[in-house]
Amino acid sequence: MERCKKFEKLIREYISGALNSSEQTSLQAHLEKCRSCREIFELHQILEKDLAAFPEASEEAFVRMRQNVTRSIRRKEGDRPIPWYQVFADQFTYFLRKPAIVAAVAVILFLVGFFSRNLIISSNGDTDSAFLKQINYSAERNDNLQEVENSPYLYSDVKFRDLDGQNIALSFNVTSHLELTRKKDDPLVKEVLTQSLLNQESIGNRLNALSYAKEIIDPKIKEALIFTMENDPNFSVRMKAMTGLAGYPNDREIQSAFLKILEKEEQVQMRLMAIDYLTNNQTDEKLLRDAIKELNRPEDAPVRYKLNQYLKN
Amino acid sequence: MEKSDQELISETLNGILGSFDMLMERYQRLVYKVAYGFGKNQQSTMDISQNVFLKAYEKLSSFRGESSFKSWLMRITYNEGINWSKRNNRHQESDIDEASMKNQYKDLSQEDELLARENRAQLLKCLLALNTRYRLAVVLRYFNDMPVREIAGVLECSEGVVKNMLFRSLQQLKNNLSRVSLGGIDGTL
Repeated sequence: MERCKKFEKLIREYISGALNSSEQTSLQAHLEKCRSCREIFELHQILEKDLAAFPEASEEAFVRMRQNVTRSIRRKEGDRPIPWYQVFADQFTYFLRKPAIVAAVAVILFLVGFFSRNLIISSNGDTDSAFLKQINYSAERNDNLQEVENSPYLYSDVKFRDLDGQNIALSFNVTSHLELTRKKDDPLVKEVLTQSLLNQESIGNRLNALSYAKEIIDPKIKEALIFTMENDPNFSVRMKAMTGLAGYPNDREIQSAFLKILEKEEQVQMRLMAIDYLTNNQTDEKLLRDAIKELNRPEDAPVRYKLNQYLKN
Repeated sequence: MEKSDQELISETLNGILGSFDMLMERYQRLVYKVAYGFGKNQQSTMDISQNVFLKAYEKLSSFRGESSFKSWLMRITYNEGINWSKRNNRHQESDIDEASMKNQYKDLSQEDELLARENRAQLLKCLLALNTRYRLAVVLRYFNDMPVREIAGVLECSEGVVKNMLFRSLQQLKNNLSRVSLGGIDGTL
């Protein structure tokens, strides 16, 4: 046993890669005789050569993880939605690091360049351009907020003008500026409205978009309104988004968003408006009681009082 | 030429998020292996890894370069793993992902594959059962090829203590393995 103590020290040094050759010979001789030390030594060797035995994750899983990290960082830093071009840039940066993909992209670009000349010639003189068809097609396919954010078209400098109650005049920049007349429930109207709600460049444009958005009941507009209400840095915009949402009756998603407003929003007007909606739209009373428990700050007093009054009745 | 960690860190601090992505790509597998000791399945381990990189980004301006970025990141991973375990406050069984183990045995015959998979699964189970500091020392030493000096930096202890931890870990692994499998690993023990 005493002898083993001495060799244990040598094994420790061996594991750390700090054993000279005479010590190694001496250790080897001991290992041949001592089973206990040999077992430890062999375990060390197994672990050393067994690198692949540790569970691994796929490259795709790592890419997803990194994308989640960069998106969280952007959301935290910018407090605004990630524009489609940034999402594209993330993917692009990743793909650029893969030589095979770069080569494939180069071939595709060459082929696209070669054939696009013919395409331009064939579409020449078409009044409803192929481009407009593309953005219409995109607007019809984008069903939720994330799809709109990831849309290949970014609309800026957006203006809406009501024409006759039925139609709306749309004007915006997308690679080139377009002016169109569309039905209020046209997919393109919804698409452009949704994007302009998220556009952080101009508060005026967001407020303008909001005044039309509240007239159109649509899932992706609703999602954009919730996002705006929860995240827009401007109080008037948040408040107006909230007014728009109040037009959706008895909606579970909106109830849950308004409950969040009760807990997190600093502006008391918005919290009182949330109570109005919640109490007028069949919100589960248990959820309201749970919400009261969270309202512990001194400034929560009016909100707490209003909720208690409702629950007593 | 590949950029150094320090260059990528400076670029990140200047607002180039793509450089942080490169740092993540460089160290994601390392973080994953260390985090696996706490998460013990792919989903939880990915969640921990994600938190680690977010923390690293938030604290990046406080990284002074006194240790290597790798050691610093390992320290964050270790702390995040501990926090994650506390938050999830339960002793997890080592449910090793079948899918992630599968690829490692593709070149073996069916019989050898079964044996290898069983032995390695047992080894991994015993490894995951070690206490957190011992486990981290083993993972860094054997699965990340980190020198004892750097492991000591991560664990904030002396090199002597790390050597001792590694030896004690091997002793404990040996005892646990002979308890669960009298046949030993690869028939060598």
